[in-house]
Amino acid sequence: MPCEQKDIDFDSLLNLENQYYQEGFLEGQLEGSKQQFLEGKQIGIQTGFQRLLVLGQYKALVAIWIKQTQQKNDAGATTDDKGKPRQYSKILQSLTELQMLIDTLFENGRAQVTNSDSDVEKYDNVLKRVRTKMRSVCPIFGENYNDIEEIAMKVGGTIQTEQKDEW
Amino acid sequence: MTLDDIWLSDDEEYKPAVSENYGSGENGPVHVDLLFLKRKHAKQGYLDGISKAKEESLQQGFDEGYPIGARIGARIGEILAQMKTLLRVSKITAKEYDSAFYELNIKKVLQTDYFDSKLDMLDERKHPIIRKWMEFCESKMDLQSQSYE
Repeated sequence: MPCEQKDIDFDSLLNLENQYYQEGFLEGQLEGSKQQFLEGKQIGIQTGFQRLLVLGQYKALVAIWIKQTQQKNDAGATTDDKGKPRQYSKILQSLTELQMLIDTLFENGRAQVTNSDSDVEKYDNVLKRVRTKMRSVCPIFGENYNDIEEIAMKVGGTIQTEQKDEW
Repeated sequence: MTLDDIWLSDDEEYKPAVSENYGSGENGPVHVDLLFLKRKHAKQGYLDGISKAKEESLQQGFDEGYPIGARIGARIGEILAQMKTLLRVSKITAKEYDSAFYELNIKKVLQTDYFDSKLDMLDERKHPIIRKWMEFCESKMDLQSQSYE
C-alpha cells in the first residue's frame, strides 16, 4: 500500500489542529449568527424608523398643500387669506417638483429604501434637498419648519435597545 | 495500520462533556492527547467563529430590519402630519392629537408583540395602532375645503 495512503494519513494528522479549529469555528459561527442577527435587525428597524419619519411628514404635508393650492389656483385666487399676493400656479409647480423628489424614496405609497451604500447616499441627497425646499415653502402655508423636525425627534427619538419589550 | 489503530491502542479512553465538544460534537472514545488537542483548537475556533459571526450577522440583521422600520416610520410621519393639519383646522381635538402622538411613539409602535418571531412585518398598514390612526385620519380628512391658515 501504499506509500500514497501513508502520505495521506500523515497529512491528515498534521492537519488535525486545523480541522478541529475549523469545526469549532463553524459551530461558533452558527451560534454567533443566531445571537446577533435579531439584535441587528432590531437596531435596523429602529434606525429605518427614525430616518424616514420626517420624510413621511413632508410627504403628507406636501400632498395636502398641493390639494389646497390646486383649489386656489382653479378658483383664480391671486392673494392668500391675509391678502398677500400669491402666484398659485408657481407655488403649485414648486410643490409638484417637491412631491416628485420625495416620491423617489417611495414606491406605491410605501417607503422603499434599503441600507445599501447607494440607497443611503440617495436618501441623504434627497433629504437635504427636500429640507431646503420645505424651509422656503412652509411659511406660505403658515407651517413652522422647526415644529416638523421637533415632532420627528419626539416621536422617534433615541430609545433603549436592550429592554425586553421595546427597542 | 490505520490512524484509528494508533490512537485506540492506548488504555485511556475519555468521553468529554457535551459542553466541551466544540466542533464535530461526536462522543466516541478518543485518546486523551487527541482530545486535548481537539478541545484546544476547536475552542479557539469556536470563539473566533462567534466573533466573526457577530459582526457579520449584526450587519445582516440591520440591513434586513432597516427597510421594515423605514416603512413604519414613513407611515407614522404621514399620519402625524395629517393629524397636525386636522388640529389646525379644528377637525380634531387637542386630546385626539395628543393620543395619536402618544400611541405612535417609537417605543409603543415597535414593541415586539407587533412583529412575528423573525421580527418581520409584511405590511405596516396592518399594524393595529397604525391602522387605527390611518382610519381615523381618513374619516376626518376633507382638506379640499380647508383654508391654509
